[in-house]
Amino acid sequence: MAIGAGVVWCLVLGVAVYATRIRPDPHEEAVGWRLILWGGVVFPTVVLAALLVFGLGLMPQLREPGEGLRIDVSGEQFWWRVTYRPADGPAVVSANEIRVPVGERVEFGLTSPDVIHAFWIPALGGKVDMIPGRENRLVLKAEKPGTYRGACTEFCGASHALMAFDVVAIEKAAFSAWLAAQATPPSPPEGEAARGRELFLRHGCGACHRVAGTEAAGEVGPDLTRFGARATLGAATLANTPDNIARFVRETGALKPRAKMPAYPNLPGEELAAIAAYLGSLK
Amino acid sequence: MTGWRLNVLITPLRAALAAVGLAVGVLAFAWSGLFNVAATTPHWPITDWFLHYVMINSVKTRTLAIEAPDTLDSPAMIARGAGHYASGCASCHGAPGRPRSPIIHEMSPVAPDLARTVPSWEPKHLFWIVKNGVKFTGMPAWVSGSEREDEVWAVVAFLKRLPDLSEQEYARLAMGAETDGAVGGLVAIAHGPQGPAPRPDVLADCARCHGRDGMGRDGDAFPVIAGQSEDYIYDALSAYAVGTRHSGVMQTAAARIPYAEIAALAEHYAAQPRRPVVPAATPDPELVARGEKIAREGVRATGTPACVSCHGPAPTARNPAYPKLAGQHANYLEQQLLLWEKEDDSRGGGPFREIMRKIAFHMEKDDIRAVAAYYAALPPGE
Repeated sequence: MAIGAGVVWCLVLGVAVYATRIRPDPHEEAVGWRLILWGGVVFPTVVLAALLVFGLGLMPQLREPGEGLRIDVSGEQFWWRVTYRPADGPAVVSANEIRVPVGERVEFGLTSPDVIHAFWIPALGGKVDMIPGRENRLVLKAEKPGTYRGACTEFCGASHALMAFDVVAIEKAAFSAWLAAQATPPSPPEGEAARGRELFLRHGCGACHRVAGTEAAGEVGPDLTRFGARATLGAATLANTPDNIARFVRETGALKPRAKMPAYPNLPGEELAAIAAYLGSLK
Repeated sequence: MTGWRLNVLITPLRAALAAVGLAVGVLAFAWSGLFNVAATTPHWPITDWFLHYVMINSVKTRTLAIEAPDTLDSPAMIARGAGHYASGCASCHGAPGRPRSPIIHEMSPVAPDLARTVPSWEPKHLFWIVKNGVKFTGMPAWVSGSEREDEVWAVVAFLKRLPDLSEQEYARLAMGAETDGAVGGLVAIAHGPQGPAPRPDVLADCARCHGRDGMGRDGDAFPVIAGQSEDYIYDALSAYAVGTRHSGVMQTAAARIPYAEIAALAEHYAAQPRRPVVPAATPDPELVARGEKIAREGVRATGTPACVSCHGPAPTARNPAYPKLAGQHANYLEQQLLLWEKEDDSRGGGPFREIMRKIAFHMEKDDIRAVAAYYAALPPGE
C-alpha cells in the first residue's frame, strides 16, 4: 500500500511539474478533449469497474459461515456479554474479553438489549452495529496470536468511551483446552480470598454477578466466574490489579459514569481488599 | 374662580426626585421604629380582609392543576395523618378534646381552629396549604414536602374527618393504645439483653403509631418494624434525624429522639417478634408468583437484580444493614420503591441507599407491585 501511495504521489507531482515548468503553454483544443476522454472517462471507468468486480468477488467469503465456533456478543451499558457456543459442547458465558483460536474463521452474533452499540476490532475487520431487536453476523479470522483491542464505536451513553475489550488470539489446541476447562468451576478460594467470597455474597454482589459454583447467579452484570484471568476490568478501562478492583467497587460512578452498578463507598478497606483478593483468585 | 389652584409641570427630573423623596420617607419611617410590630395590635379590618383575599386567591390559582387521590377515605390514610397531626399540628390548631392554648389566641394572625375552618376548603386546597405553608402567618411548609406528597395527602385525609371526630375517636387515631403521646411514665416491654431499655417517654412516642411491639395498627397504616434488623433501624432513624431520608412525619419524630436513645430503640424493636400481618386485600396468587420469580431471578431487561441476594430469603447471612422485607405491608414496600421514581435522591435513606436507588429507578411499576406482594405474603421468619 505504501508503494502504491508513493507511485501515485510521484505521478501527481510529475504531472504538476510538467504542466507548470516544462510545458507551461496551452494545449490545442483537440488535445484537451482527448485528454478528458481518455484520462477522465475511460481510465476511471475501467479501473473502478475492475475494482468493483474484484470486491464483489470477495463478498461471498465474508458472508460464509464460520468454521464451527460461534461467539455471541451482546453490547450492554457499558460492557460486553460474551457467550461462546462451540459446535460441540456446552455454551460458556464470560464478559469483556474474547478469546479466539488463531487461523480459524470465528462467527460473531452481535446483539444489544437496549441501545445501539458498534463492535469493532480494527486489527481484524470492519465495524458492525449491534442493534436492539436484531442480530448482525460477522466472521473474523485472527492470523497471528496476540492481544487485539476492540471498542464500542457507536455512541451509547455516558461511558461509551469506557467500553472496550481485549481479543486474545491463541493457538487452536490451547484454545480448545481453555474452552474445555471452562466447564468446571474455579477451585474454591483459600485464606483471605475465602473471606472475600463470604463478603461478596454477604453484600449481595451475587444479585447481579454470576460466579459458577457458588450461589451467586445474577445475570444483570458481567459474569465473574473467571474474572481473575482477565487482564483488565471495567470493560478494558483499568488494569486488573487488587487496588483497581477495590477502587472500582468503592467509586464505580466516578470510574464509569452512569453504569448500572451502585458504588459501595461504605465498605471498610479491609473488606474491599478481601473481595479484591477473591475476585483476583477466580482463574 | 376662587380657591387654590396648583400648577405643576411634571418633568422627568421632578418625577425622579419625587420617587427618591418617597423612598427616603418610607426608609425614615422604618428607621424611626414608629411602626408597631406588636402582635397585640391587630391588623386594620381592611388590611385583614386584603391579606385573606390575596391568600385565598393564591391558593385557588395554584391548585388548578392538582387532583386529589381517591384514597382519602381509607382508614389507613386517616390514621397515618392523625398520628402526625397530634405531634405536628395540634399544638397550634387544637384537636378534639384538646382546645388551643391561650397562647395561640395571642398570635397575629391566630392559628385557626381547623375543626371549624376545614369544611370551607377543598382537599386540594388543604393539600397545597399543608405542603407549602403560608407566608407571614406562622404556618410552616411540610418538611420534605416535594419528596413526600403522599404524607401530605394523609394529613388531608385526616383533616377531612376532623370536623366530626369525637374526643375518643381522635385519641385512638392519634395515640393508638398509648394514653398520651409524649408523656412518660409507661414501662417498656420486652427488650434485648445487652443495652439499656429505651426511655419510656421516647418509646411511648414511637408506640403511638408503631406499637410497643413494632407491629403498627389500623391495617397497613404503618410499616412493621418488629424484628427488623437492628443495624437497619439504627441507620434509618439516624438518616431521618439528620435529614438524609425524607419524610415529614419521621424526620420530625426522629429529631425529637435524644441521639443516645436511637441505639436503644433499634435494639428494642429488633428484639420484638415479627408476626404475620393481615393483608388489606387477599393477595392475587398470580401476582405473588410473578413477584417471587422477580425476587429470585431478577429481570434482565430492566437490570433488576434478584432481591433475595440482599433481602433474603437466602441460604447464607446477609449484610444486616439491608432491611428484612418478609412480612412487610405490600403498600409500604410499593410506596418506598416508587419514591425512587425520580432519579434524584427523592427517597433518601441510610448510608447504603445508593444501591437501592440505582435498582429501583429502573424497575417497572408492575414489577414493583409484584415483588411487594411477594414479600408481604412471605412468612415473617424468612
